[in-house]
Amino acid sequence: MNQGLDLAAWERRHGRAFDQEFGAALEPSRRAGSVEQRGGSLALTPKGRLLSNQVFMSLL
Amino acid sequence: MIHGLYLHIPFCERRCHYCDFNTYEGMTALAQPYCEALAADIRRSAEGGLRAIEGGLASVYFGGGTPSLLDQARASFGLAAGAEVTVEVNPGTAGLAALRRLRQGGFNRVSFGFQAGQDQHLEALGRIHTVAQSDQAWAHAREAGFDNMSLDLMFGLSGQTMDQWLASLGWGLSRRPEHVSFYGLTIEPGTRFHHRRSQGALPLPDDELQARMYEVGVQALADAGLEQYEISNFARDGRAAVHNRLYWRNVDTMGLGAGAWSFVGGERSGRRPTSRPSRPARTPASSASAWRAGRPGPRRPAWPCA
Repeated sequence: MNQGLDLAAWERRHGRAFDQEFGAALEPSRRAGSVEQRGGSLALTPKGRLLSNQVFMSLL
Repeated sequence: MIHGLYLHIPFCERRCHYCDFNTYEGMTALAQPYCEALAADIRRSAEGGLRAIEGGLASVYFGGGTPSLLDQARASFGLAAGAEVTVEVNPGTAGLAALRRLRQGGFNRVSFGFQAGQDQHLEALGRIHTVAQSDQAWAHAREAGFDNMSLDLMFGLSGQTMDQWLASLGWGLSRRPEHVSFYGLTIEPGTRFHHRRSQGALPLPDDELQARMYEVGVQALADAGLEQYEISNFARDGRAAVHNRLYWRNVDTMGLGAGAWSFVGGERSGRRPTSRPSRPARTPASSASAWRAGRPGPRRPAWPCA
């Protein structure tokens, strides 16, 4: 959702560090301006919503 | 424990040219026995130990549907106070009497597949309704007492101009919807559009134009007071769909009915066909046996078929 992924909630649920798990995979999306961190959440930018499948694929 | 329940009703008067949902034309004779089998499946799921969260289901979503199935869902799982109960409705099949029955039967949200504001595009998509019928269905649903209504629109259609897309948005917004979903057309394998595309017979707007259509759509809805809460969905006054948000929150939801997907206990599973029912319609028993609970394949994109 536009509010993004609550990273603390994700880490509580999975017992792993999000950045350690996905930091490298998400780096191209960060550099391309498709995702951004807002407070404690990782969210798609307006540009990222157009390219969301590319972002999601990088996490699979 | 599940937060939401999705029930798939796979019968269509006519399959849209872009639709890759598990849907069947000309088999409505099976609708009644199918719904009885689905009610039994709801009951058996609960008897097998599946439970709703404390307080009952937050959402029940019908891809098609009847009040009697809702009664079974309520009896088996319970509905939370203020639960969202949605039915997808095709504007070509929505009479006032039927909408009244749904409203009186406990449905409180209706989602219409409007798709386009031009009859030429509706026809090209294989829709069974006209723009005038969409308007009438909308008015009937309001008259039946629905105060939480959504409409779907599509962009990136063959031959669609930016002006036509803007006109579709303007027309949709003039209905004063509480909720709007819009989607770019994608061409899925096995659809009539896929076949035509492979023959070079279905020119589509280029990526740049499709991207601009998305962006002007987001802006038009924002200007009209509909907040974008996820990629394709917009709502005013806190009417973001409970159903959609359950999926994004990754909480447990149960899908029942032919082709429906579930996510329960960290596992995704689907009701997948072991064979495709053929015409003439088989007996309900043999048709039902063509379905089994199976391991999921790749997730396919969701498309509005109502």
